[in-house]
Amino acid sequence: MANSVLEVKNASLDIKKDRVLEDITLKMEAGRVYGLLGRNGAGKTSLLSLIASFRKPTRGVVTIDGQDPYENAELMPKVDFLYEVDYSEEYRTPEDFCRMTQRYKQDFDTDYAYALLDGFRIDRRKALNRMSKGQQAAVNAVLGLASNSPVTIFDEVTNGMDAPSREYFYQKVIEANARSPRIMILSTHIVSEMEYLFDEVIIIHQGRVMLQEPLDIFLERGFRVTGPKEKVAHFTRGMDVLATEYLGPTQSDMVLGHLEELQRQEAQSRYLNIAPLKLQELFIRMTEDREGVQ
Amino acid sequence: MNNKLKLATMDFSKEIAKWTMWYLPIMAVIYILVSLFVNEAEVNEMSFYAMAASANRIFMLVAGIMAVFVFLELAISLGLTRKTFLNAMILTGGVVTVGLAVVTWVFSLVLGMMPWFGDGIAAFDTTAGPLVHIIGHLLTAYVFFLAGFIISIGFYRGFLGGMIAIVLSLGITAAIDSMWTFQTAGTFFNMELAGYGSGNLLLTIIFSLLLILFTIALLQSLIRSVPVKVK
Repeated sequence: MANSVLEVKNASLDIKKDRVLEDITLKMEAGRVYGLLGRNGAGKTSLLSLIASFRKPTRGVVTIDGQDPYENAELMPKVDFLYEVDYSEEYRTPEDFCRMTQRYKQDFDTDYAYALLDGFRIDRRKALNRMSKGQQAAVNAVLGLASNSPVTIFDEVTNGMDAPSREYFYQKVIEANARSPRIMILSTHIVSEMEYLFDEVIIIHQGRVMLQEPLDIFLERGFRVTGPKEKVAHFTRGMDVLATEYLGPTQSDMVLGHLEELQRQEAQSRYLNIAPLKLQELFIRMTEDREGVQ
Repeated sequence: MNNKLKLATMDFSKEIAKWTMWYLPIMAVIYILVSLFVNEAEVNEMSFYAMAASANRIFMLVAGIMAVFVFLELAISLGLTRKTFLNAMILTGGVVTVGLAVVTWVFSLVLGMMPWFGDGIAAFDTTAGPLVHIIGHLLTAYVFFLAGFIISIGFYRGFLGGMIAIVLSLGITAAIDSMWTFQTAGTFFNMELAGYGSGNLLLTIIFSLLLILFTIALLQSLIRSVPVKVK
């Protein structure tokens, strides 16, 4: 399982009468961190549920190294799916959870889990129902990081964590993937904070995969031009302008497309500032128009 | 039995055993109060085992109903397949049924040594021996657990599924109950049936086992594609 390949081929999912996912095709490889982005209700959790065998696709297949993980006793323990859980009735402690997980998942590293719990400043002998939401989220994160599972999925796992805890989690995502290279999928709404973790970006929109691209290539899809209003407006005329922002006499246009060398020189000669777009900006603009949000 | 199945059976049994630690003492308190304060010969002669037998069935039904809601998501998160989960639950039901009967019997034995409480295994019946009652109690309680499991899987799949599951469970529990009530007392819902039935213990056991196999087959078909709901 060292170099696992996860593939989703033409998968669709119907829940009751709703088509939740439509013709999803993706490929993921070990050692890479995938950022799964999408608006609320886009189908992120449903897609992750298919990968984790929580649900069976209505059509299409999910495979790990060519095998369907659904009801596969060998493969199901190799996938870890961590998501926001309500622990208000959970009297067991993080230590209990670590021990239990270790018994069922042979790759789980209990010592590493304890070290991570210490790093999050979590009392591992305290019942989960007596912990804050952020601490409970941290325990969830620890279970995933220490799992060493070839496929590790974090779905909104930082919800409720404070800023230092989130930062600690981000560091440990990099560290855990270096310790045990795996397919790591991070689904999040805090795009701006987690951007640097992603090797690839997957955007899912209205149940379909809008794109799957390496982060650097994705960010080359657009640029931002900033300068005096008239000069910027003149420069971006005829270009695919996603959004325009004003600050006094300054205008900033977000443009979709590549900048040719000649255009770059022209911008320089007009004293216009050219900057790459941020993932969050691009994500917002790419998904908002399709829902009519301005 | 594979290692995961063994582990899961052990863990589920331990958890449900914790529930019985709440249930049985409460039941014992009710029994003591009823025995001390209700002045009726039938009640005063009734042992704890006899009183708890029907309550145990309801406990097993509730345990079965709780099983999917408490354990399924955790089991799949830990990498167990639905098939292993079901097999572990089938074994857990057996372990808990026997465990509960043994602990109930111990409670009954201890209470029966005191002069204020009854000590017979059966409540009223004198014709069928205590062994028949014990076998009947075990098989009935186990089927109630499986019936509860059907209800929870049904509701886990949706409202309509739940309602159909309730009807199925009612049929299954009524079938096992009637068989054993007939076997032990010759009555069903207070109707005198002694004149119609065979009263054959072996036949009743065989039909009970067939009913259990039918219920398990039903559970296998229901659990195969059950989705685990997140959030």
